[in-house]
Amino acid sequence: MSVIELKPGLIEEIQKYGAFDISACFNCGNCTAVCPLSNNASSFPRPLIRLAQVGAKEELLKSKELWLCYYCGECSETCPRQAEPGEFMAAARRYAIAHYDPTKVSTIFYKSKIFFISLLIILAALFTYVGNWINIARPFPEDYEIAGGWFYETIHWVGIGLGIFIGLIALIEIINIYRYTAKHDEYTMPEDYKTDTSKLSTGKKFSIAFNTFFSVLWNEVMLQKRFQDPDIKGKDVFENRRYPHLFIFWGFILLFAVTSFNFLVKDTLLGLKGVLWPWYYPTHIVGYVGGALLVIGSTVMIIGRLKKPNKYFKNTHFTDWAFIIYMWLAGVTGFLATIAVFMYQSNPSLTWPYWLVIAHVVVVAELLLLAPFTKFAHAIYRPFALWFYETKKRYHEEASKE
Amino acid sequence: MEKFDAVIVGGGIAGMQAALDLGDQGYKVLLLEKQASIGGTMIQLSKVFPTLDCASCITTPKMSAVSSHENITLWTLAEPKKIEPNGDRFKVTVFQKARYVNEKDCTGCGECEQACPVIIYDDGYDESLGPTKAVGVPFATAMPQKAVLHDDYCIFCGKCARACPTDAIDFTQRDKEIEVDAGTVILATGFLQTPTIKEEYGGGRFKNVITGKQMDRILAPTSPFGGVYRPGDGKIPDSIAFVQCAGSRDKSIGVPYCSAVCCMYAIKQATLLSAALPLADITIYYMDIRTFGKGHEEFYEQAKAMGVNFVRGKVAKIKEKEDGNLIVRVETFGEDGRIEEFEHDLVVLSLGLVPQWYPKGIVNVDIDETTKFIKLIKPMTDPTLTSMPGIFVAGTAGGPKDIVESIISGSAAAMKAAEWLNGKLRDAFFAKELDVKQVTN
Repeated sequence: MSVIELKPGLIEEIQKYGAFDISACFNCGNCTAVCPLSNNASSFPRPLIRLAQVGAKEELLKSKELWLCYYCGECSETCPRQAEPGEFMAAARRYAIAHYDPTKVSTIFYKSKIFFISLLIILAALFTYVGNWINIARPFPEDYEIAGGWFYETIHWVGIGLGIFIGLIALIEIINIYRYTAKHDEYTMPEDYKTDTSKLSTGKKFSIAFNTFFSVLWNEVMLQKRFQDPDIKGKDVFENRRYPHLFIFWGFILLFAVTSFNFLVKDTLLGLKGVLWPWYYPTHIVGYVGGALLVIGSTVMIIGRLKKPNKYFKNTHFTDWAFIIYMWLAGVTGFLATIAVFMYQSNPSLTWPYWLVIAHVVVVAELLLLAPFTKFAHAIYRPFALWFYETKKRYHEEASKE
Repeated sequence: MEKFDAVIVGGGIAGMQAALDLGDQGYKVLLLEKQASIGGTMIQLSKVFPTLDCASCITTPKMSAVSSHENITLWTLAEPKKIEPNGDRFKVTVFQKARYVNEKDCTGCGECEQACPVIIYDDGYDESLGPTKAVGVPFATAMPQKAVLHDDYCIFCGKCARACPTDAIDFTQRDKEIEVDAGTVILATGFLQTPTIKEEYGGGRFKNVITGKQMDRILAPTSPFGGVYRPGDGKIPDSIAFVQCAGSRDKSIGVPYCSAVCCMYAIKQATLLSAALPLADITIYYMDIRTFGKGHEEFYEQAKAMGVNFVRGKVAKIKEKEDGNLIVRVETFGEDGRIEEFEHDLVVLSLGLVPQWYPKGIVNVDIDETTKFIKLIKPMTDPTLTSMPGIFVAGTAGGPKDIVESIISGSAAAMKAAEWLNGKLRDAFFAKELDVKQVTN
């Protein structure tokens, strides 16, 4: 047994990332056994609650199990102590996001609602100012263009700056989650499930990792099959968790792809900077589909979380709210901005299209800027944790066969 | 208005003990029993822990002592509708349900039961395991040994009336209310098992998931099955599981407290099963085994030595297979925690204790906010006092207790009631020397 460093007061610390009373837990194990996703290769939530109770901070952060939980709420509903294990898992994930984050900004985000909201407002004001700055400072009013010129350039370069910044942070985060979780054997894995994986050759290990990468990418990221479990799926449309999530995911991916295409191919390769293609061009069509998926998915999700039809939607943290609302706003303002740009093209004397475009830019910029620090970060962590978990599981399976 | 020294509500073991103790001292006692026979829960049980004495052998002498006692008046099918203070005494309005059988004429011969065409499975004496009829003596050792007609089930065919050799069946009887005057009241209203509402355990739908009381009925000498069979298909179970804390220490079903007896009765049933089915595997799934009475820990160790398998872990889910066997899903705790599924032929839910009777609207005593049992205002030093002076509590009406504790608390309540009746306690209260409210603070 290795020595584990204990951090007293870990429970109180995690408690600040979400409202719940995990100290009531008496470790009966009901949550683990009732969980539809928990199994012997990785069992949760109880072992993780235990880690938090004894203060094993590093062990908790190393747990891939945190990311295997999809918060169906089954454990919270049946907990004999009403200690809300599901809510603990959510709070522990926020805690982990805050600790994988190299800047540690998220530690403040999650703990203070006032700080978080004021930061959102300040950033919005800042982006509006930057977007509008050209408008105020421009020397010649006739330079004022939406689809080209100064205004376009500002958005363009702010976007690239943001992209580089977010990319760097995301890269560090990926390195962090790899450092923490990839090598770590599941704390919750019973001894007889563990095998000596050093028997496996490097080539074998590599091919397993390669295979699991694609199986996770296909099953967990692109199709999100874990949501299919009957206990998690939910009955009516607002209870369903898979489809709104898939809609948002694919909506975002499509929009991201179109934006990247426009920037890389259209602007850079073809040199058509500032040219607005007609509304029926394929890039636009893909954008409409993506936007529609995003708006439908986030609308259903918001209504579900307001209606609280069942245990899944019982608690919504303010950062979760911010995330879905921003997703929704990004979709809606995106559509409005598209209409605005076409309106402006037909009648350049209009000024209101300009403000709609600014609004969309502000929303998207904030959404992307906060991505590595908020709920959005699960888009990075969860797939990687699932990949590491599947790989490790396969290592043990393969090693036991030899 | 008839006058009594004491009215005792509930004819279980605690109420009977209190009635006997007061009656022996010469006080006139009225014992009210909601069911058709006194005896309470204890008369249904097989054996008592930890001595494995026969439960009915302890209960029946007390039952007949109560029914033949000169100072005890026994009203069955009767419950209080209102208990109001009346000066330093109480006015008790008793709701008397119609028996539809003339008690004076009935000899308890059972001819009516033979004649009755209506077969019912109700949660009475046999806990819905065995059939009864719409008319008949409740069970073999019932006291009073008189027939009762259940008007909920009766089809009024009149066959029983024609069969009765003494013409005791009387369809003209009606429910009535009787007012009596009492010096003091003892509440010994007992408990019910926690209802099997927990969805994870089948919500009461699985045929081979039975309650602790049903297991006790199966094991009793008066068993409706005459042996240990599972109710679903009559198979002799090879593997039996006990699920501890199935109806207590669980906030999700609203019973946060420990019911105090389930560990012991499960161990008792496991011990009896080891004797009845020597080849069966018996597993007890528990969170903690709480054996805190005298001889209880030894009883637990003895069960372990007999080969009863104790597995630590709270059963999270029970699934029913097509052949009626049950899959128990649990996170077990050995050297490490792991999720396991075990198959069993029969699962016994060790359900907890919840109050049978709520005083709201009947008598103005406080109830405990978390447990909903009648509140004991001095639980440590005077565990029979309620928030209302002159009203005492006995047995499980005041919280979960085992049989021995119930009998002790019945005697204690009788003692306090006698003190009240002979004036000392009452005068002290009315002279403001003993302010109950002050004592609670």
